[in-house]
Amino acid sequence: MDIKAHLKTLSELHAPSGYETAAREAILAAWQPLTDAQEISRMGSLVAYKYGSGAQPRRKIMLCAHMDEIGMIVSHIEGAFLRVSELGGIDSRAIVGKPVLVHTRDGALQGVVGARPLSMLSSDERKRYPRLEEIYIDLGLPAEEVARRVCVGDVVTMDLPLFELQERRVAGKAIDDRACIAVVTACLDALQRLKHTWDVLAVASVQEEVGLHGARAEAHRLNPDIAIALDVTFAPQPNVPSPTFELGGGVPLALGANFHPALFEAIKKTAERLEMSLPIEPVPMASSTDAWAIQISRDGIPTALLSIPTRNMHTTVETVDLRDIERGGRLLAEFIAALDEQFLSQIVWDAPERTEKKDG
Amino acid sequence: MADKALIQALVEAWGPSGHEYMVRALIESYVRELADELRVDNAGNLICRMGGGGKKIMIAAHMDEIGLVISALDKPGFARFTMTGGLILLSLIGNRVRFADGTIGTIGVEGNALFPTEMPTIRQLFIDFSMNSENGGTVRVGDHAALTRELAVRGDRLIAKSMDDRIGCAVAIEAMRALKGKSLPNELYFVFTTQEEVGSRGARVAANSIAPDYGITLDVTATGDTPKNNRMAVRLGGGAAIKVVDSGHIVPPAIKELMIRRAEAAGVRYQLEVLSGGTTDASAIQTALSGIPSGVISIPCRYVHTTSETVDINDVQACIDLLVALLEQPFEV
Amino acid sequence: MAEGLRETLKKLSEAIGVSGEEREVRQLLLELTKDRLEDVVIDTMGNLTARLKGSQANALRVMLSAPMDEIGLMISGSENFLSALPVGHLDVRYVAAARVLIGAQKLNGVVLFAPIHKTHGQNELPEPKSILIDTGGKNSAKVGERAAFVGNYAELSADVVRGKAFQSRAACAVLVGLIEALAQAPLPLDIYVAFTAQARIYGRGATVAANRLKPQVAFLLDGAECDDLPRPEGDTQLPAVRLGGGTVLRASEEMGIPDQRLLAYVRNIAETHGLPYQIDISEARGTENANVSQTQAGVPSVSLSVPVRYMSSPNGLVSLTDLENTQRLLHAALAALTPKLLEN
Repeated sequence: MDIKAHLKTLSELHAPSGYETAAREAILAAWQPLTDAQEISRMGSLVAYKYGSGAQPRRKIMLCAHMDEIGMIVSHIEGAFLRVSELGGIDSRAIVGKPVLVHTRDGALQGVVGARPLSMLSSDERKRYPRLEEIYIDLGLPAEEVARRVCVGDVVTMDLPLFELQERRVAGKAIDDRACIAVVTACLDALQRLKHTWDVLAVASVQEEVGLHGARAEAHRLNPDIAIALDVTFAPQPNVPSPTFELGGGVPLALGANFHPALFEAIKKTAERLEMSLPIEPVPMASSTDAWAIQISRDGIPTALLSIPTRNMHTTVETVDLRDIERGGRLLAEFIAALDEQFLSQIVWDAPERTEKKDG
Repeated sequence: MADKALIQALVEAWGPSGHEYMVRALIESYVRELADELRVDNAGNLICRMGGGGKKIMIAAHMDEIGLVISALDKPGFARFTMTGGLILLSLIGNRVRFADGTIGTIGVEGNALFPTEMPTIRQLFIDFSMNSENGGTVRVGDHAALTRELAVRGDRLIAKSMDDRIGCAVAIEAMRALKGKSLPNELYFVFTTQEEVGSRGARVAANSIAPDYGITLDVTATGDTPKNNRMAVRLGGGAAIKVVDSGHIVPPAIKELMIRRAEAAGVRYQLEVLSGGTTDASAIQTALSGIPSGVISIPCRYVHTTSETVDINDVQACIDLLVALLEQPFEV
Repeated sequence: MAEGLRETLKKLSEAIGVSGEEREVRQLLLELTKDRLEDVVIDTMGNLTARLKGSQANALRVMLSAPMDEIGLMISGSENFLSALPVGHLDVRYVAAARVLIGAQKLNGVVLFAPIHKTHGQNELPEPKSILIDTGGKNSAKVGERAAFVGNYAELSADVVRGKAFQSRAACAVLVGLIEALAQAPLPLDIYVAFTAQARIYGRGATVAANRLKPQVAFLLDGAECDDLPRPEGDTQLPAVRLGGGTVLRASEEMGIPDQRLLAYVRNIAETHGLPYQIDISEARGTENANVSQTQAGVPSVSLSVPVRYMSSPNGLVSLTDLENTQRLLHAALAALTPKLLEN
């Protein structure tokens, strides 16, 4: 499959947290031919089922990547200009002068993130980046027209196309976490040619950027036997401390309290079997990903996290290497194909009899 | 127009987070005859069912108010305290607090209180019991208190402590009154919740046990209509505020749209609310179980978390009307 | 006229021409105007100068100019990433996470910006010497190559368009339109045009253009920064330059005061023709006017500027009506121009 074209589609659509419709539709279109059934949850997450060949009741593995992107929302209208609040962690330092879409009741309006020019700033203001409350959206329209067409509560998204770099690298907006949606697509694609006994529940979750809300709800509803969350992680660049992971160097697998160590080992073995490089990402405490919410759902769900190295995270030039996406998809598919009836009995901390003896 | 006597009784009642029993008893006295079934759950929530069949809808308004708790006794007649909920330190000095038994204290600050030059820390504040012998009399470490102030009325504007969220409770009670005797297409659970100010702990438990299809929260929101404050569009007297988003909750667009449709059809004045800083019980309800899509009807309120929380009676009425319009018809999301 | 103007402006905005390397935009301008020009010279600075066909010898010698270059970057080093230095008066706020095209091969690059997760609270603007560009590959560009910012041209309404380099290119579009109009109906003047290089580096191209062309009077087109923007509460100052407010006439500049006879003349023309204008007294830096007026024995010159919002941003805004009105105003000013104006 053409990963670049797929990621281009995903990156360029407009779907901030809580307003994921456009992403849901595009992902549904991509996953429908690759899966047996699809549903949209009450919270708006998309779940696609690819049934395994095992006997009922079958075990379930949940793959979870979030489809929402960071954005803004109109908080009030000041004459011809729109003031905004954040929807997820928008970085007001990196958006001035960039194009946006304002999604109104009657369609989208093009605009630009405005800030007063240097000649209008105090000497103090000239030394620092503007804050979100100092910038605004300029639609180039007169105040009366703005008042007629825009409402408080209209959402605002960055409007920039995918930008191709050398060496199969691409830069764009919303690569966090649509690159990982593409990993799931690549996995589902690879599973067309592999036999698997477990059910695969592919989840494109909503509202990750505002508190992992989609993943929390789906983990509770679907109650899978194991789960693998996918998100972006940091690639090397100035001002980003280690650990970082080089673009194209493979998909890091996370190790830490948020992840089940036996599941970690099992995925690692799959990579070894495939002779695929698998960097280890140390995450001592919170992962700040969907994995954090999934792990403590219901009776607890053994959870792992695979990441796509990304530069310039939370900007409109989030940069990834397409080879990482392809590798991640293949690793997931091979891991799923190897899951058997005994697998869950291997996902344990200690041998149960030892625990019993201690109690007695 | 909304019942001012009801509002007065509610806002002047005592009920810091975790100690809502007086407010609960008061509300129970109003709603006992209105509900088909009434219970108090383990978290102290008062749950009132009206109607049966159709969609299960949970309507939440919190009973608790921001307060403080004695952390240590100081020299005779003085005690130190910590906060329960988001007290605004800058507004505390000289304010009075009341304990469950009626004991009154005054909040003071170390040093020369006549000329405070900077923002105090909570460690510099204390409660003065205006006594010259025993330490606060009957007050002990761990005792809870709330700010105290009577309701003031200026025309359509009502000024009081704990409008947050007794005004939401009043809207719920008035809606129950309006719905009483009607044939309801939905199964309604009016929940007067506990401990919202310390993290919506009551609402989360109630949502888990009721497992509703949808949630509607009634709470106050800030305004942007005072001098040198244009950060948000909501204003007093502008009508019921239909929440779009706050810092902990994105209202599902379909619920927001339903509220707008119902408001427009019923001729209820409304405004859209984008709030940064602060959230409501809806954030806990929406994230309970497998996710419970939730909306919020906000009552615009100036000076939230002070003893002069100010609302407009016309906005309160608009909120009641909008809530009734939503609940008396099928919930078509 | 609007359709043709819009198309010309779009082409001009999207063309590349970082100060000191204006080749691409110069070629475009030549292509757009060559049928109407004679004695075309690309001088040693890279200015494109020519005489308007049908001009009258021995009539008043007039220079019409517009700058063609844009703010950008120059590649200064190549290690893990490319490093770059500013060309022109760069507003560093627009550099964060910017997209650029490098060199004649237009290689895509992005300016690195460390994620907020790791840099929360670091709000100080960096020095423009620490600009790093990622092209995805290694050794992909040579030291000395220019990088231009990628703009995102769009028509926001029937009147307002968004795009890059409007500070220069809006003026170019006006001059291209005017050349066409003057070719249709020649005036009894000896008209020379100059699309100048290096305007964004202290207006140095115009100095040489004026030295060579030796005009008796010069009209300089340019862009002017709008200030009709949200202000902090309590700042009640009225804006001087509004988008859609008409041609900006500079009454004061950093390096000098424009020719008062010409300024009064243009103002008068605007009023008699009912064309909107706005007077800007902010002290614009490094304008060509200051340079041109001091060449030779002094050339009487005046600036007519198109209002631009966010002039140094990759996405500025201009009003097409402003462009049209500026063309009309300059046309009307030329039509009534006689040597008498300069006699007193």
